Amino acid sequence: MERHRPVQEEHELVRRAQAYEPIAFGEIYERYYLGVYKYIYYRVGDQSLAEDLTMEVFVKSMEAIDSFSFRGVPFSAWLYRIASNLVIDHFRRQPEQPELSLEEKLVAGAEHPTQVLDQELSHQALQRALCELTDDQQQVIVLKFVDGLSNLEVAQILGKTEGAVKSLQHRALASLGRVLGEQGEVTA
Amino acid sequence: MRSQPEQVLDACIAQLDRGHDLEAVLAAYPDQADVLRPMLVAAALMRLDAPPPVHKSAHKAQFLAAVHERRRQVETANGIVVEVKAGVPVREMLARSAPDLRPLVVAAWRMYTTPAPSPAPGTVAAGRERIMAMAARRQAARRRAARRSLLPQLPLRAARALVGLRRGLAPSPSLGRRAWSGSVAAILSVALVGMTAAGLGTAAASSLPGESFYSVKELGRSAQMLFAFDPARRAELHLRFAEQRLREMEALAASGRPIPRHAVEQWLSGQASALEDIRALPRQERELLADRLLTAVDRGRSAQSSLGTVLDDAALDRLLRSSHALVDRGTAEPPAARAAERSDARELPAEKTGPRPRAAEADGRAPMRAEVAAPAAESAPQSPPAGPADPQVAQPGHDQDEARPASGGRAPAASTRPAPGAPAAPEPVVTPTDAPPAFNQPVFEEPTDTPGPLPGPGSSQGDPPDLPVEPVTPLP
Repeated sequence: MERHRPVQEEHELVRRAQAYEPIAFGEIYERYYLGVYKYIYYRVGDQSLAEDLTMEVFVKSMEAIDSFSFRGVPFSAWLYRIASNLVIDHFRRQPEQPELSLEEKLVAGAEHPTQVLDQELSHQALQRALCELTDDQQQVIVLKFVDGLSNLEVAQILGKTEGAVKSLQHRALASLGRVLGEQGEVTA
Repeated sequence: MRSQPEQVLDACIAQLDRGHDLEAVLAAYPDQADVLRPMLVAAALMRLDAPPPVHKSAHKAQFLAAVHERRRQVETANGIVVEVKAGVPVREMLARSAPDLRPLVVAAWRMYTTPAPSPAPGTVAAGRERIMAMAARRQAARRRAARRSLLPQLPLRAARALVGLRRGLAPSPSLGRRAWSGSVAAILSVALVGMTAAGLGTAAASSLPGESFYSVKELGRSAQMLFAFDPARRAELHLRFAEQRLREMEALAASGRPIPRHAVEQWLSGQASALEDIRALPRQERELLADRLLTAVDRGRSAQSSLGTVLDDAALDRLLRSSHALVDRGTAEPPAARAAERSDARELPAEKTGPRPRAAEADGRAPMRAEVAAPAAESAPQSPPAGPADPQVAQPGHDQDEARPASGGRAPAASTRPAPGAPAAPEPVVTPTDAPPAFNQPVFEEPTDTPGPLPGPGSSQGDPPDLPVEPVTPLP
């Protein structure tokens, strides 16, 4: 995820988006879609649901774009907060998480079936392990690893201090490590 | 601010802490002794259970040691994450890690190396279309609201009269009617601009894109378009505004300031709208305006080097060819072509030309979008261009989608624009592509001070001289 874009450029993009320029919104969509999608996917564990919720994030961002202002927090942090709230709302509506289905999750394409299966099992194991974490721990781990954000960016998104983010990261890794096993997933 | 009884209580407790006897303390406050006694007895009892000072300091030391250890563990975990993201081999990390840290190393490595799932490209593209369409609708609604707010609060009778006047000035080829509507429009637009820009007239008139009062200038132009009722008048206004906008862009370039993208887009879309209006005119009335359009487009092309900005070569070429066709042949395009255009009309706004609905708003942005869709479909299987070196994402096994393109890192498509002044090509029916853009390839370049040209068409055949419009994705 691009994090090195000049701040002024982001300000200009948001200004154009607040004027409802379609191209500006298209650009915002292209910049942040994948990061938001991955964040939601690892939280909900379902691809189609993640796609739907990701779309909803951008729709809601458009509805609320007028209320956004830069207060030392990047625009991406605002989007992730919207995503986080949507995921929380989803869990409130549907507390029971559906079981992951291999048939639904197999990646289409020319990949070797064995590779696909291995990849899916690995992914499934990781997804199950993430479900063992608390909500805060999940968010920190996904934002740090899947979206590649820094501690400061994660802190801004979650409204916490950097120290709190590091602490959550430590606990999350410790929990994940217990679930995954010390050597179980390490391959040559 | 503590009350007087609370202050007395605090003073008594302090004396007890210093070892004074309870009765001696109470003797100093005889009138409050009955109230203070039970409270001081309770305080004394509680202090009996407090650990002695030596235990307190020992506990404090233990507490601080635990805090220090906790901080060390947190920083160690953070260090593990940094090393994993930097690509340090996991076996090396495991070999030198304490046993209690190895699960953390494994967990961090798994999180970082497990490829993340990718969304369906069709879903992504459809979502983008939907978002842009929603934004276009909101932008149009806001502009309508802004136009309405310009009108003064007229009495009901006057408002009805204005509506009747507006209806009476229906488009007509009659010269007299056009002159009448032109003069009415001029009077009303002057009044409108004067009322809304009171005190700002001079500043707005000389403002350039990106400056504070430029929006007032644009409002004035919109006001003039509002009361342009026939295609000739509208085309003339479009051309006049396009010429003004080109001069504004030249002024920006001359002063060394960057030209905003929206200024270029408005300039292009204005000429596209002029082309549409000219086409609607009878044959004998087209030539002069078409010639003027041709000159304007050609001048824009010539000014490209001095502007140093992004001008869509493909859109300029099509405008040139269409203008040539209008001048040379003076023929309207086949009805099928216009029907195809109308069926593919999008809500992406062209320059707003008045209250009359326009079936096919040729948008200066539309050709860029449709043009890119074709080459993007061809290049969809390719990986996106590499972005800046980012040690956190450029790791083997990590999701390649993380390597998003850098600013301006757009995959250029081949440009096949004909030489200026080439004979006009035939006008085929517009066939917009259905191919979605490749994800992770930004459609537009990042605005820079010295940007390169936008990519031209990917196909060398069949570039329609008409301005294609984007396909409309029906909303659920």
